[in-house]
Amino acid sequence: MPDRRRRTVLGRRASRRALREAATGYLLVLPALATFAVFVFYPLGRAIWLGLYRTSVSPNLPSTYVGPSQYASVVSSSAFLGSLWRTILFAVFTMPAGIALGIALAMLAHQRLRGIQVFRTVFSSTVATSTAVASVIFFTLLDPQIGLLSYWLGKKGGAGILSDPTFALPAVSVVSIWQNIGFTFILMSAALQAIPDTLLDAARLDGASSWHRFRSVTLPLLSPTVFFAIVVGIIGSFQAFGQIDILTQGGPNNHTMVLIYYIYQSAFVNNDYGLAAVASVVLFAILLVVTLVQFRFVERRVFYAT
Amino acid sequence: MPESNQPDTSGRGEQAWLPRKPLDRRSFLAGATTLASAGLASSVLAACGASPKPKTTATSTPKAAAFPIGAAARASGKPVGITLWHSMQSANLEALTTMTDQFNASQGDVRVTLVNQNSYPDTLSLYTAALAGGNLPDVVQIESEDLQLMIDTRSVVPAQSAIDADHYDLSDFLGVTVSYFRVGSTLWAMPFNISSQVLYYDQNAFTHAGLDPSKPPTTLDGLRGAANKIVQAKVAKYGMALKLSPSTFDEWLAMGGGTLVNNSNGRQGRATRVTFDSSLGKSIIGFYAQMFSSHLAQPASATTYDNLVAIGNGISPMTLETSAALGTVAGLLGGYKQVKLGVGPMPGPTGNGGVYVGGAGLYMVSKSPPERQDGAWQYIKYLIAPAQQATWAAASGYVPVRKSAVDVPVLKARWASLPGFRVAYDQILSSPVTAATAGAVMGPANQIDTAIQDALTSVSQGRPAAATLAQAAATANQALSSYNSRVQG
Repeated sequence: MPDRRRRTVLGRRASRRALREAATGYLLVLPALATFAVFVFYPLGRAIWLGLYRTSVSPNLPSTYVGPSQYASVVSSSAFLGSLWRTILFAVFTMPAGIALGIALAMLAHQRLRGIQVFRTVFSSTVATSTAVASVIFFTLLDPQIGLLSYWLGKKGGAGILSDPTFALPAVSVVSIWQNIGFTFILMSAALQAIPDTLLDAARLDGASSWHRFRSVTLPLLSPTVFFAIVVGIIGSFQAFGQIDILTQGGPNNHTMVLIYYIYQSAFVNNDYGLAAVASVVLFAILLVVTLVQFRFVERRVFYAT
Repeated sequence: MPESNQPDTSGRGEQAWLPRKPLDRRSFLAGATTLASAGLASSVLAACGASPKPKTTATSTPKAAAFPIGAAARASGKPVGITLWHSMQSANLEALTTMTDQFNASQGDVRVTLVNQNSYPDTLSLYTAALAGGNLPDVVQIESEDLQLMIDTRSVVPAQSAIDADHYDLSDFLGVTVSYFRVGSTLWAMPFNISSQVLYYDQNAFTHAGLDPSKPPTTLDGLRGAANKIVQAKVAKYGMALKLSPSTFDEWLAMGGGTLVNNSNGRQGRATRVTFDSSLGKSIIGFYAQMFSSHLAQPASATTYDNLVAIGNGISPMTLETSAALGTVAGLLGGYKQVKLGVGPMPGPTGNGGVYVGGAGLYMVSKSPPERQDGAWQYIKYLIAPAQQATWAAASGYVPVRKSAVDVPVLKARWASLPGFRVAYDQILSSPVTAATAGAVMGPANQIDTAIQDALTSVSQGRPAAATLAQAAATANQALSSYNSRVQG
């Protein structure tokens, strides 16, 4: 980068001009910054502060200052740790399978065939479904009395898959995978189309098999998109709320009580805002660390074509 | 958008605090990823940050002022406008709207506006949110089990103060409808829409199994016997569908004369520990375990009407469900021609107890000015008058809260044509007024419900009944002490 050398020869006037330009830049960023300050930084500060209080059973009543000990007691509670563990399980269930399916469908649809657009539309259609709609569809399909899926799985009668502690979280995961498949498919399709044919042609001329071409050419070139999908997927699985609220409400026996639902229940069902604030701040910290770790370690293995 | 965060600085005058790289795929994806993570974290935090601001000073407790009877009539600007937040839908909503229109037309002092808040949980959370700062209604319909929480919000004028000031007579009311909303000697809310659990069964299945359809089982042993006969005769796969819902467990506890929590179900003092892990509670959960393990009962989801569908499709010809569902049940089963719906009183343990009531009560809000408090009371009195309770019960399927409503022609005619609607009334009428049949008043009602529901789910999975009940009691006790520590004042 030639900037440093150049900067030393610039005169004071140029530097002042640069300063003015930077000021203009900050001025332009100001509206976005103000929005962030009001809707992100301020609530963040308030949540951290609220975590120091034991809030009353009703929000019109005074709260008691209990200090940082509330952070320690929440973080070490089995309810919190259990919900964190189930969130990790949920991410493990949904993310690898979702990304693999997305790549597989994108490869399938990345053919020059008549009518392939129909399949592309079908594969990406779930992106147009809201979580609520997807959940209600699967709720009906999984119903033990009238559900088609329950019938096929031999689970007719009884309390149903969603009331079964063993299968509830996998079932919710399947719904999430299904709902996110459209988004992953579109991401991967776009990435596939950006891969220059010349590279694959060269590999073909070198005698690489189709699997070899996929592994050694396509996949490395997809890696930035896969990385993006992993980060978004992890965040998405920490964010999974709608499907759990509609399908299981955190049950049976807390087996689908992921962190975000635990926060929701604590705050808006039990009116325990202090506890919920602590859990939210911890969730924020976890996501921050996860994202940093991903950038630090995973990104090194990503191949960026420039 | 990511582009705007990465200004093109390839030109002159670059500074250290400005990004030095032009936008490329790498930084686009990196930027988008960072934005996405920031987005989640902020949305989570915003949800909690929106909660009310903590205060460290205690507010003064509301003083017990005399109820302003007649304030609406004396108000300078008439009619006095009041608002009711409710959760009634479809047929119930129509009936409530009609009654309210009639009330508005019947006098010139008070004008009621209905606000539909969709469901009991929604109404409750909107109400508590409004307490922190927002528009409150003058009357709010809250689900029965949230009584302790409503008391603890310190935002309610007890119905008792209006009753005392107005010399209102409660002797016509069904005992357990009033005892539910009474703590100590204070009636907090007026019972309005009341129900209890009943037995729904297919009379044709009873006939095929050699059971008398006119004599449905009334005890737990009878229930097991009937289920056994149905399964033995191969009339259905299961004898009954048993919901994994705490309401049936709670109802059986009350029928056996047992309490859910201490201090006489929270009536003589704040509940501090649960009592449902008593020998009665153990025998009830043992009954569940036995019914499931012997395949006489199929477990049914707590949150759906699958148990009713199971009657229709012939899998389980008996189930226990709230009487408020009767309209739905009758409509649903109308589509199944082979089913002849029967309604029986709730079978349960024999003891000195009886059924307790479910449903909702009407609360008056203390922040309302005197003329609106009085208006609220006038409106509530109208809704619980015999004529209105008869209309209401006939249209909705709820139980009338007072005895004289039964003689009103509209309800008489309805019950004559559909005797099933009378079953819940009769069993509520005959339920003795005790601590057990008053039902439990406890702060974390929702969490205790969940603990019991979890125990029932475990039992349906074949876990040992006594151990799961002990676990539920431990969880519920923890919820109680956590709630009680947050009450303050």
